[in-house]
Amino acid sequence: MAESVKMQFEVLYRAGTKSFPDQAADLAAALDGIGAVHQQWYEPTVRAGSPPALAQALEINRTVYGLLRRAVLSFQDAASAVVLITKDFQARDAEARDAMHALGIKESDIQAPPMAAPPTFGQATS
Amino acid sequence: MTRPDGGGGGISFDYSDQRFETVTDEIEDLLADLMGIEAAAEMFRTHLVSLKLHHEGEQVAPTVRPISLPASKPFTVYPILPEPPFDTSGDQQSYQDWINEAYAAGAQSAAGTGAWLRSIMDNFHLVDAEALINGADQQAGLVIQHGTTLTANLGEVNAALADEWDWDGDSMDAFFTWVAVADAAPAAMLLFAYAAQSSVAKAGAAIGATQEAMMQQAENARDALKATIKAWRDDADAFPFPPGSGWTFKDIGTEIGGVIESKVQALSDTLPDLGPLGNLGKDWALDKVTGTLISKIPAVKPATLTYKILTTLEANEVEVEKQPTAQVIIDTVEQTFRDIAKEGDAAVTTAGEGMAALAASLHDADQLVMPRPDPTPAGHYERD
Repeated sequence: MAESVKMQFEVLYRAGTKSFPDQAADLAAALDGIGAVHQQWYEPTVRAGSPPALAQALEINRTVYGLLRRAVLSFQDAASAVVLITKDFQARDAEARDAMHALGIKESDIQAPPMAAPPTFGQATS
Repeated sequence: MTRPDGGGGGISFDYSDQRFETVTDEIEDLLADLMGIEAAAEMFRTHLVSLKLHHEGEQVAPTVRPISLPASKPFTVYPILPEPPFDTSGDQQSYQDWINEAYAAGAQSAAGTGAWLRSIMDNFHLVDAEALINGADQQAGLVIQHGTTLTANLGEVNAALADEWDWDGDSMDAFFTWVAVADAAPAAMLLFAYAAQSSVAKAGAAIGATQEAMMQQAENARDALKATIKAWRDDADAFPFPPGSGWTFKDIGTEIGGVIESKVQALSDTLPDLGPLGNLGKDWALDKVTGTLISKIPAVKPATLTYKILTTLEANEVEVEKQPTAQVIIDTVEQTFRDIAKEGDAAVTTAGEGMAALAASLHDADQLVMPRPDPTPAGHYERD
Protein backbone atom coordinates (compact mmCIF):
# COMPACT_ATOMS: atom_id res chain seq x y z
CA MET A 1 0.00 0.00 0.00
CA ALA A 2 1.49 3.31 -1.09
CA GLU A 3 1.75 5.87 1.70
CA SER A 4 0.49 8.52 -0.69
CA VAL A 5 -2.73 6.59 -1.31
CA LYS A 6 -3.26 6.16 2.40
CA MET A 7 -2.69 9.86 2.97
CA GLN A 8 -5.00 10.82 0.14
CA PHE A 9 -7.73 8.53 1.34
CA GLU A 10 -7.43 9.93 4.83
CA VAL A 11 -7.60 13.52 3.58
CA LEU A 12 -10.72 12.83 1.55
CA TYR A 13 -12.35 10.85 4.34
CA ARG A 14 -11.65 13.56 6.90
CA ALA A 15 -12.86 16.33 4.58
CA GLY A 16 -16.15 14.65 3.73
CA THR A 17 -17.03 13.35 7.17
CA LYS A 18 -15.52 15.97 9.44
CA SER A 19 -13.85 19.17 8.25
CA PHE A 20 -16.33 20.23 5.58
CA PRO A 21 -19.38 19.53 7.77
CA ASP A 22 -17.63 21.28 10.64
CA GLN A 23 -16.94 24.26 8.42
CA ALA A 24 -20.56 24.31 7.33
CA ALA A 25 -21.69 24.14 10.96
CA ASP A 26 -19.32 26.91 11.98
CA LEU A 27 -20.50 29.20 9.22
CA ALA A 28 -24.09 28.33 10.16
CA ALA A 29 -23.35 29.48 13.70
CA ALA A 30 -21.97 32.76 12.35
CA LEU A 31 -25.05 33.00 10.17
CA ASP A 32 -27.30 32.48 13.15
CA GLY A 33 -25.46 35.18 15.09
CA ILE A 34 -25.70 37.70 12.26
CA GLY A 35 -29.41 37.01 11.91
CA ALA A 36 -29.92 37.64 15.64
CA VAL A 37 -27.86 40.82 15.58
CA HIS A 38 -29.81 42.02 12.55
CA GLN A 39 -33.02 41.66 14.53
CA GLN A 40 -31.45 43.53 17.44
CA TRP A 41 -30.46 46.42 15.19
CA TYR A 42 -33.63 46.65 13.17
CA GLU A 43 -36.00 48.54 15.48
CA PRO A 44 -33.45 51.11 16.72
CA THR A 45 -32.48 51.74 13.11
CA VAL A 46 -36.06 52.48 12.11
CA ARG A 47 -36.59 54.66 15.17
CA ALA A 48 -33.39 56.57 14.41
CA GLY A 49 -34.73 57.44 10.97
CA SER A 50 -32.62 54.85 9.14
CA PRO A 51 -29.38 56.84 8.88
CA PRO A 52 -26.82 55.31 6.49
CA ALA A 53 -24.59 54.20 9.37
CA LEU A 54 -27.35 51.86 10.48
CA ALA A 55 -29.40 51.26 7.35
CA GLN A 56 -26.36 50.31 5.28
CA ALA A 57 -25.09 48.11 8.08
CA LEU A 58 -28.41 46.30 8.03
CA GLU A 59 -28.16 45.99 4.27
CA ILE A 60 -24.66 44.57 4.57
CA ASN A 61 -25.80 42.13 7.22
CA ARG A 62 -28.67 41.03 5.04
CA THR A 63 -26.36 40.49 2.08
CA VAL A 64 -23.72 38.75 4.19
CA TYR A 65 -26.43 36.54 5.62
CA GLY A 66 -27.43 35.45 2.12
CA LEU A 67 -23.84 34.84 1.10
CA LEU A 68 -23.01 32.92 4.26
CA ARG A 69 -26.13 30.83 3.93
CA ARG A 70 -25.07 29.90 0.43
CA ALA A 71 -21.57 29.15 1.78
CA VAL A 72 -23.07 26.80 4.37
CA LEU A 73 -25.05 24.96 1.72
CA SER A 74 -21.97 24.95 -0.48
CA PHE A 75 -19.80 23.28 2.17
CA GLN A 76 -22.60 20.82 2.88
CA ASP A 77 -22.77 19.94 -0.83
CA ALA A 78 -18.98 19.68 -0.97
CA ALA A 79 -19.01 17.33 2.02
CA SER A 80 -21.58 15.11 0.30
CA ALA A 81 -19.54 15.13 -2.91
CA VAL A 82 -16.28 14.25 -1.17
CA VAL A 83 -18.00 11.46 0.77
CA LEU A 84 -19.22 10.06 -2.52
CA ILE A 85 -15.72 10.36 -4.02
CA THR A 86 -14.19 8.64 -1.00
CA LYS A 87 -16.65 5.78 -1.17
CA ASP A 88 -16.03 5.39 -4.88
CA PHE A 89 -12.28 5.58 -4.29
CA GLN A 90 -12.18 2.67 -1.86
CA ALA A 91 -14.70 0.68 -3.90
CA ARG A 92 -12.69 0.92 -7.08
CA ASP A 93 -9.11 0.94 -5.80
CA ALA A 94 -7.62 -1.86 -3.73
CA GLU A 95 -4.89 0.33 -2.29
CA ALA A 96 -7.48 2.81 -1.12
CA ARG A 97 -9.50 0.01 0.46
CA ASP A 98 -6.35 -1.26 2.19
CA ALA A 99 -5.72 2.27 3.43
CA MET A 100 -9.25 2.43 4.82
CA HIS A 101 -8.74 -0.81 6.72
CA ALA A 102 -5.34 0.29 7.92
CA LEU A 103 -6.88 3.43 9.32
CA GLY A 104 -9.55 1.37 11.11
CA ILE A 105 -12.33 2.88 9.05
CA LYS A 106 -15.35 0.84 7.96
CA GLU A 107 -17.17 1.55 4.73
CA SER A 108 -20.26 2.49 6.72
CA ASP A 109 -18.21 5.17 8.46
CA ILE A 110 -17.81 7.07 5.20
CA GLN A 111 -20.74 9.41 5.51
CA ALA A 112 -21.33 12.99 6.42
CA PRO A 113 -23.15 13.81 9.65
CA PRO A 114 -26.72 15.05 9.34
CA MET A 115 -26.65 18.61 7.99
CA ALA A 116 -29.72 20.80 8.03
CA ALA A 117 -30.21 23.66 5.61
CA PRO A 118 -29.98 26.96 7.50
CA PRO A 119 -33.06 29.19 7.58
CA THR A 120 -33.50 31.81 4.92
CA PHE A 121 -33.11 35.44 5.94
CA GLY A 122 -36.84 35.88 6.18
CA GLN A 123 -37.21 32.80 8.36
CA ALA A 124 -34.35 33.86 10.61
CA THR A 125 -35.56 37.40 11.18
CA SER A 126 -39.32 36.93 11.31
CA MET B 1 -18.44 41.37 26.10
CA THR B 2 -15.54 43.67 25.46
CA ARG B 3 -15.21 44.95 21.97
CA PRO B 4 -12.06 43.79 20.21
CA ASP B 5 -11.58 47.34 18.98
CA GLY B 6 -11.63 48.67 22.49
CA GLY B 7 -15.26 49.72 22.76
CA GLY B 8 -18.25 48.10 24.35
CA GLY B 9 -17.62 46.41 27.64
CA GLY B 10 -21.19 46.67 28.84
CA ILE B 11 -21.59 50.32 27.85
CA SER B 12 -24.54 52.18 29.28
CA PHE B 13 -25.80 55.71 28.94
CA ASP B 14 -27.25 58.02 31.55
CA TYR B 15 -30.53 58.07 29.73
CA SER B 16 -33.78 56.23 29.49
CA ASP B 17 -36.83 56.91 27.36
CA GLN B 18 -39.00 56.82 30.46
CA ARG B 19 -36.87 59.40 32.26
CA PHE B 20 -36.86 61.66 29.22
CA GLU B 21 -40.61 61.43 28.86
CA THR B 22 -41.06 62.13 32.56
CA VAL B 23 -38.80 65.17 32.50
CA THR B 24 -40.32 66.62 29.31
CA ASP B 25 -43.77 66.14 30.78
CA GLU B 26 -42.55 67.90 33.93
CA ILE B 27 -41.30 70.73 31.71
CA GLU B 28 -44.75 70.99 30.17
CA ASP B 29 -46.41 71.14 33.58
CA LEU B 30 -43.94 73.68 34.95
CA LEU B 31 -44.10 75.72 31.75
CA ALA B 32 -47.88 75.81 32.01
CA ASP B 33 -47.56 77.00 35.57
CA LEU B 34 -45.06 79.71 34.67
CA MET B 35 -46.94 80.82 31.57
CA GLY B 36 -50.10 81.01 33.62
CA ILE B 37 -48.39 83.14 36.24
CA GLU B 38 -46.84 85.38 33.61
CA ALA B 39 -50.13 85.75 31.74
CA ALA B 40 -51.91 86.71 34.95
CA ALA B 41 -49.23 89.26 35.77
CA GLU B 42 -49.28 90.67 32.27
CA MET B 43 -53.04 90.99 32.32
CA PHE B 44 -52.94 92.93 35.52
CA ARG B 45 -50.27 95.23 34.17
CA THR B 46 -52.39 95.75 31.07
CA HIS B 47 -55.43 96.51 33.15
CA LEU B 48 -53.56 99.04 35.14
CA VAL B 49 -52.88 100.80 31.89
CA SER B 50 -56.43 100.50 30.69
CA LEU B 51 -57.88 101.58 33.99
CA LYS B 52 -55.64 104.54 33.86
CA LEU B 53 -56.98 105.28 30.40
CA HIS B 54 -60.48 104.69 31.51
CA HIS B 55 -60.15 107.04 34.43
CA GLU B 56 -58.09 109.62 32.68
CA GLY B 57 -58.60 112.91 34.37
CA GLU B 58 -60.10 111.26 37.42
CA GLN B 59 -58.44 110.47 40.70
CA VAL B 60 -58.13 106.78 41.46
CA ALA B 61 -57.26 105.22 44.77
CA PRO B 62 -55.15 102.15 44.35
CA THR B 63 -54.95 99.76 47.25
CA VAL B 64 -53.34 96.42 47.97
CA ARG B 65 -55.72 93.66 47.02
CA PRO B 66 -54.53 90.16 48.00
CA ILE B 67 -55.52 87.64 45.38
CA SER B 68 -54.89 83.95 45.17
CA LEU B 69 -52.85 83.06 42.10
CA PRO B 70 -54.14 79.62 41.08
CA ALA B 71 -50.77 78.09 40.26
CA SER B 72 -50.20 74.37 40.69
CA LYS B 73 -49.39 75.34 44.25
CA PRO B 74 -51.59 78.42 44.73
CA PHE B 75 -50.05 81.42 46.41
CA THR B 76 -51.25 84.85 47.35
CA VAL B 77 -50.09 87.89 45.44
CA TYR B 78 -50.46 91.49 46.55
CA PRO B 79 -51.11 93.68 43.52
CA ILE B 80 -51.86 97.30 44.07
CA LEU B 81 -55.01 97.89 42.11
CA PRO B 82 -57.34 100.80 41.62
CA GLU B 83 -61.00 100.63 42.36
CA PRO B 84 -62.52 98.59 39.60
CA PRO B 85 -65.00 100.58 37.55
CA PHE B 86 -67.38 97.73 37.01
CA ASP B 87 -68.60 96.34 40.30
CA THR B 88 -68.81 98.11 43.58
CA SER B 89 -69.82 95.14 45.64
CA GLY B 90 -67.67 92.22 44.53
CA ASP B 91 -64.49 93.75 43.24
CA GLN B 92 -62.08 91.26 44.75
CA GLN B 93 -64.08 88.37 43.45
CA SER B 94 -63.96 89.95 40.00
CA TYR B 95 -60.20 90.41 40.17
CA GLN B 96 -59.99 86.80 41.30
CA ASP B 97 -62.02 85.75 38.28
CA TRP B 98 -59.68 87.67 36.02
CA ILE B 99 -56.57 86.12 37.45
CA ASN B 100 -58.11 82.69 37.24
CA GLU B 101 -58.99 83.17 33.58
CA ALA B 102 -55.66 84.72 32.71
CA TYR B 103 -53.76 81.93 34.44
CA ALA B 104 -55.82 79.29 32.64
CA ALA B 105 -55.30 80.94 29.26
CA GLY B 106 -51.57 81.26 29.83
CA ALA B 107 -51.22 77.73 31.11
CA GLN B 108 -53.06 76.44 28.07
CA SER B 109 -50.28 77.81 25.88
CA ALA B 110 -47.95 75.12 27.19
CA ALA B 111 -50.18 72.26 26.11
CA GLY B 112 -48.33 69.70 24.05
CA THR B 113 -44.88 71.04 24.92
CA GLY B 114 -43.64 67.68 26.19
CA ALA B 115 -44.60 65.87 23.01
CA TRP B 116 -43.22 68.72 20.93
CA LEU B 117 -39.85 68.58 22.68
CA ARG B 118 -39.72 64.83 22.18
CA SER B 119 -40.54 65.26 18.51
CA ILE B 120 -37.50 67.51 18.07
CA MET B 121 -35.40 64.61 19.30
CA ASP B 122 -37.37 62.14 17.24
CA ASN B 123 -34.33 60.41 15.76
CA PHE B 124 -32.89 59.86 19.24
CA HIS B 125 -35.85 59.46 21.55
CA LEU B 126 -36.99 55.83 21.79
CA VAL B 127 -33.81 54.64 20.07
CA ASP B 128 -32.15 51.84 22.02
CA ALA B 129 -28.50 52.86 21.64
CA GLU B 130 -27.36 50.14 24.01
CA ALA B 131 -29.07 47.50 21.88
CA LEU B 132 -27.19 48.79 18.86
CA ILE B 133 -23.86 48.65 20.64
CA ASN B 134 -24.53 45.32 22.31
CA GLY B 135 -25.46 43.91 18.90
CA ALA B 136 -22.27 45.34 17.45
CA ASP B 137 -20.28 43.69 20.25
CA GLN B 138 -21.91 40.37 19.50
CA GLN B 139 -21.22 40.65 15.81
CA ALA B 140 -17.59 41.66 16.40
CA GLY B 141 -17.20 38.65 18.66
CA LEU B 142 -18.72 36.20 16.23
CA VAL B 143 -16.65 37.53 13.33
CA ILE B 144 -13.47 37.00 15.29
CA GLN B 145 -14.55 33.63 16.66
CA HIS B 146 -15.67 32.19 13.36
CA GLY B 147 -13.04 33.94 11.30
CA THR B 148 -10.36 32.05 13.17
CA THR B 149 -12.03 28.70 12.55
CA LEU B 150 -12.06 28.91 8.78
CA THR B 151 -9.61 26.05 8.67
CA ALA B 152 -11.21 23.48 6.43
CA ASN B 153 -8.39 21.48 4.90
CA LEU B 154 -9.17 22.76 1.45
CA GLY B 155 -5.58 22.76 0.32
CA GLU B 156 -5.08 19.17 1.36
CA VAL B 157 -8.27 18.09 -0.37
CA ASN B 158 -7.31 19.97 -3.46
CA ALA B 159 -3.91 18.29 -3.51
CA ALA B 160 -5.40 14.87 -2.88
CA LEU B 161 -7.81 15.23 -5.75
CA ALA B 162 -5.30 16.74 -8.15
CA ASP B 163 -2.33 14.54 -7.43
CA GLU B 164 -2.41 11.33 -9.40
CA TRP B 165 -6.09 10.75 -9.46
CA ASP B 166 -8.84 12.08 -11.58
CA TRP B 167 -12.58 12.45 -11.23
CA ASP B 168 -13.82 12.01 -14.73
CA GLY B 169 -16.33 14.36 -16.26
CA ASP B 170 -16.81 18.07 -15.48
CA SER B 171 -17.24 17.65 -11.76
CA MET B 172 -13.50 17.75 -11.03
CA ASP B 173 -13.00 21.13 -12.69
CA ALA B 174 -16.07 22.46 -10.97
CA PHE B 175 -14.71 21.24 -7.65
CA PHE B 176 -11.35 22.93 -8.15
CA THR B 177 -13.17 26.17 -8.95
CA TRP B 178 -15.19 25.75 -5.80
CA VAL B 179 -12.11 25.20 -3.66
CA ALA B 180 -10.57 28.44 -4.88
CA VAL B 181 -13.68 30.43 -3.89
CA ALA B 182 -14.34 28.52 -0.70
CA ASP B 183 -10.82 29.20 0.51
CA ALA B 184 -11.30 32.99 0.58
CA ALA B 185 -14.94 34.00 0.32
CA PRO B 186 -16.21 33.23 3.86
CA ALA B 187 -13.43 35.28 5.45
CA ALA B 188 -14.24 38.18 3.14
CA MET B 189 -17.92 37.93 4.07
CA LEU B 190 -17.00 38.16 7.73
CA LEU B 191 -14.86 41.22 7.07
CA PHE B 192 -17.91 42.96 5.64
CA ALA B 193 -19.86 41.93 8.73
CA TYR B 194 -17.08 43.44 10.86
CA ALA B 195 -17.31 46.72 8.96
CA ALA B 196 -21.08 46.74 9.51
CA GLN B 197 -20.77 46.27 13.26
CA SER B 198 -18.12 48.96 13.45
CA SER B 199 -20.45 51.46 11.79
CA VAL B 200 -23.32 50.50 14.08
CA ALA B 201 -21.13 50.72 17.17
CA LYS B 202 -20.04 54.25 16.25
CA ALA B 203 -23.59 55.30 15.41
CA GLY B 204 -24.85 53.76 18.65
CA ALA B 205 -22.24 55.66 20.63
CA ALA B 206 -23.21 58.90 18.88
CA ILE B 207 -26.89 58.30 19.60
CA GLY B 208 -26.22 57.42 23.23
CA ALA B 209 -24.08 60.51 23.75
CA THR B 210 -26.80 62.63 22.15
CA GLN B 211 -29.39 61.11 24.42
CA GLU B 212 -27.26 61.89 27.46
CA ALA B 213 -26.91 65.50 26.32
CA MET B 214 -30.62 65.97 25.72
CA MET B 215 -31.43 64.30 29.02
CA GLN B 216 -29.10 66.64 30.86
CA GLN B 217 -30.45 69.72 29.11
CA ALA B 218 -34.03 68.68 29.76
CA GLU B 219 -33.27 68.29 33.45
CA ASN B 220 -31.55 71.67 33.49
CA ALA B 221 -34.57 73.25 31.82
CA ARG B 222 -36.87 71.65 34.36
CA ASP B 223 -34.72 72.98 37.18
CA ALA B 224 -34.62 76.45 35.62
CA LEU B 225 -38.42 76.48 35.40
CA LYS B 226 -38.68 75.37 39.01
CA ALA B 227 -36.30 78.12 40.07
CA THR B 228 -38.21 80.74 38.09
CA ILE B 229 -41.56 79.71 39.54
CA LYS B 230 -40.04 79.76 42.99
CA ALA B 231 -38.82 83.28 42.33
CA TRP B 232 -42.34 84.40 41.44
CA ARG B 233 -43.60 82.84 44.65
CA ASP B 234 -40.81 84.33 46.74
CA ASP B 235 -41.43 87.73 45.20
CA ALA B 236 -45.21 87.52 45.44
CA ASP B 237 -45.55 91.02 46.86
CA ALA B 238 -44.00 92.46 43.68
CA PHE B 239 -46.82 91.01 41.58
CA PRO B 240 -47.73 91.85 38.85
CA PHE B 241 -44.12 92.87 38.27
CA PRO B 242 -41.69 90.09 37.55
CA PRO B 243 -39.39 88.78 40.24
CA GLY B 244 -36.15 90.60 40.36
CA SER B 245 -37.69 93.79 39.02
CA GLY B 246 -36.99 95.42 42.33
CA TRP B 247 -40.55 96.57 42.91
CA THR B 248 -42.23 95.25 45.96
CA PHE B 249 -45.16 96.33 48.02
CA LYS B 250 -42.82 97.44 50.78
CA ASP B 251 -40.65 99.42 48.40
CA ILE B 252 -43.42 101.36 46.79
CA GLY B 253 -44.25 103.45 49.85
CA THR B 254 -46.70 106.32 49.85
CA GLU B 255 -46.14 107.59 46.34
CA ILE B 256 -48.02 104.62 45.19
CA GLY B 257 -50.02 106.06 42.34
CA GLY B 258 -47.09 107.75 40.65
CA VAL B 259 -44.86 104.77 41.12
CA ILE B 260 -47.41 102.45 39.62
CA GLU B 261 -48.09 104.83 36.78
CA SER B 262 -44.46 105.16 35.82
CA LYS B 263 -43.86 101.49 36.27
CA VAL B 264 -46.91 100.54 34.30
CA GLN B 265 -45.98 102.98 31.58
CA ALA B 266 -42.52 101.52 31.39
CA LEU B 267 -43.87 98.02 31.33
CA SER B 268 -46.54 98.92 28.83
CA ASP B 269 -43.79 99.62 26.34
CA THR B 270 -43.04 95.96 26.44
CA LEU B 271 -46.59 94.79 26.08
CA PRO B 272 -47.76 93.27 22.86
CA ASP B 273 -49.62 95.39 20.39
CA LEU B 274 -53.24 95.05 21.31
CA GLY B 275 -54.44 96.44 18.00
CA PRO B 276 -57.85 98.12 18.07
CA LEU B 277 -58.17 97.32 21.76
CA GLY B 278 -55.34 99.68 22.53
CA ASN B 279 -57.23 102.63 21.00
CA LEU B 280 -60.49 102.19 22.82
CA GLY B 281 -59.61 104.77 25.44
CA LYS B 282 -62.53 106.11 27.41
CA ASP B 283 -64.93 103.89 25.55
CA TRP B 284 -63.26 100.82 26.74
CA ALA B 285 -65.91 98.80 28.54
CA LEU B 286 -63.81 96.43 30.56
CA ASP B 287 -66.63 94.13 31.48
CA LYS B 288 -67.28 93.48 27.80
CA VAL B 289 -63.80 93.09 26.50
CA THR B 290 -62.14 91.29 29.34
CA GLY B 291 -62.65 87.91 27.76
CA THR B 292 -61.33 89.15 24.44
CA LEU B 293 -58.42 90.84 26.10
CA ILE B 294 -57.38 87.72 27.91
CA SER B 295 -57.56 85.73 24.76
CA LYS B 296 -55.52 88.43 23.01
CA ILE B 297 -52.73 88.31 25.53
CA PRO B 298 -50.00 86.37 23.86
CA ALA B 299 -48.78 84.86 27.04
CA VAL B 300 -45.94 83.26 25.20
CA LYS B 301 -44.37 86.64 24.53
CA PRO B 302 -42.04 87.71 27.30
CA ALA B 303 -42.04 91.12 28.86
CA THR B 304 -38.32 91.53 29.07
CA LEU B 305 -38.13 94.92 30.70
CA THR B 306 -36.23 93.87 33.74
CA TYR B 307 -35.52 90.31 32.81
CA LYS B 308 -32.04 89.13 32.25
CA ILE B 309 -32.11 86.46 29.65
CA LEU B 310 -30.23 83.36 30.55
CA THR B 311 -27.94 82.16 27.87
CA THR B 312 -27.40 78.91 29.66
CA LEU B 313 -29.75 76.53 31.32
CA GLU B 314 -27.40 75.68 34.13
CA ALA B 315 -29.81 75.59 37.01
CA ASN B 316 -27.15 76.58 39.50
CA GLU B 317 -26.72 79.88 37.74
CA VAL B 318 -30.36 80.82 38.03
CA GLU B 319 -30.70 83.76 40.38
CA VAL B 320 -33.72 85.67 41.46
CA GLU B 321 -32.35 88.77 39.79
CA LYS B 322 -31.87 86.92 36.52
CA GLN B 323 -35.09 85.07 36.00
CA PRO B 324 -35.82 84.09 32.45
CA THR B 325 -39.38 84.12 31.24
CA ALA B 326 -41.13 80.91 30.36
CA GLN B 327 -40.74 81.73 26.69
CA VAL B 328 -37.03 82.39 27.03
CA ILE B 329 -36.59 79.09 28.78
CA ILE B 330 -38.59 77.09 26.29
CA ASP B 331 -36.96 78.89 23.35
CA THR B 332 -33.59 78.08 24.83
CA VAL B 333 -34.61 74.46 25.35
CA GLU B 334 -35.82 74.23 21.79
CA GLN B 335 -32.68 75.76 20.35
CA THR B 336 -30.52 73.60 22.60
CA PHE B 337 -32.37 70.48 21.55
CA ARG B 338 -32.09 71.44 17.90
CA ASP B 339 -28.35 72.05 18.33
CA ILE B 340 -27.94 68.73 20.12
CA ALA B 341 -29.94 66.91 17.45
CA LYS B 342 -27.89 68.60 14.73
CA GLU B 343 -24.64 67.52 16.35
CA GLY B 344 -25.99 64.06 16.98
CA ASP B 345 -27.09 63.73 13.36
CA ALA B 346 -23.65 64.85 12.22
CA ALA B 347 -21.96 62.28 14.45
CA VAL B 348 -24.23 59.52 13.20
CA THR B 349 -23.57 60.62 9.63
CA THR B 350 -19.83 60.49 10.25
CA ALA B 351 -20.21 56.98 11.66
CA GLY B 352 -21.78 55.91 8.40
CA GLU B 353 -19.24 57.41 6.04
CA GLY B 354 -18.28 54.91 3.40
CA MET B 355 -21.01 52.49 4.32
CA ALA B 356 -23.06 53.13 1.19
CA ALA B 357 -20.06 52.42 -1.00
CA LEU B 358 -19.24 49.34 1.06
CA ALA B 359 -22.79 48.02 0.75
CA ALA B 360 -22.71 48.65 -3.00
CA SER B 361 -19.40 46.86 -3.43
CA LEU B 362 -20.71 43.90 -1.47
CA HIS B 363 -23.83 43.84 -3.55
CA ASP B 364 -21.73 43.64 -6.70
CA ALA B 365 -19.19 41.16 -5.33
CA ASP B 366 -20.08 38.18 -7.47
CA GLN B 367 -16.87 36.47 -6.43
CA LEU B 368 -18.34 36.06 -2.95
CA VAL B 369 -21.26 34.04 -4.26
CA MET B 370 -19.99 30.55 -3.63
CA PRO B 371 -20.85 27.98 -6.26
CA ARG B 372 -22.82 24.94 -5.20
CA PRO B 373 -20.87 21.78 -6.00
CA ASP B 374 -22.87 18.83 -7.25
CA PRO B 375 -23.35 16.77 -4.08
CA THR B 376 -23.70 13.61 -6.16
CA PRO B 377 -21.24 14.07 -9.00
CA ALA B 378 -21.39 11.56 -11.81
CA GLY B 379 -18.41 9.52 -12.96
CA HIS B 380 -15.68 7.74 -11.09
CA TYR B 381 -12.51 8.53 -9.27
CA GLU B 382 -9.70 6.80 -11.07
CA ARG B 383 -5.98 6.63 -11.26
CA ASP B 384 -4.48 8.77 -14.06
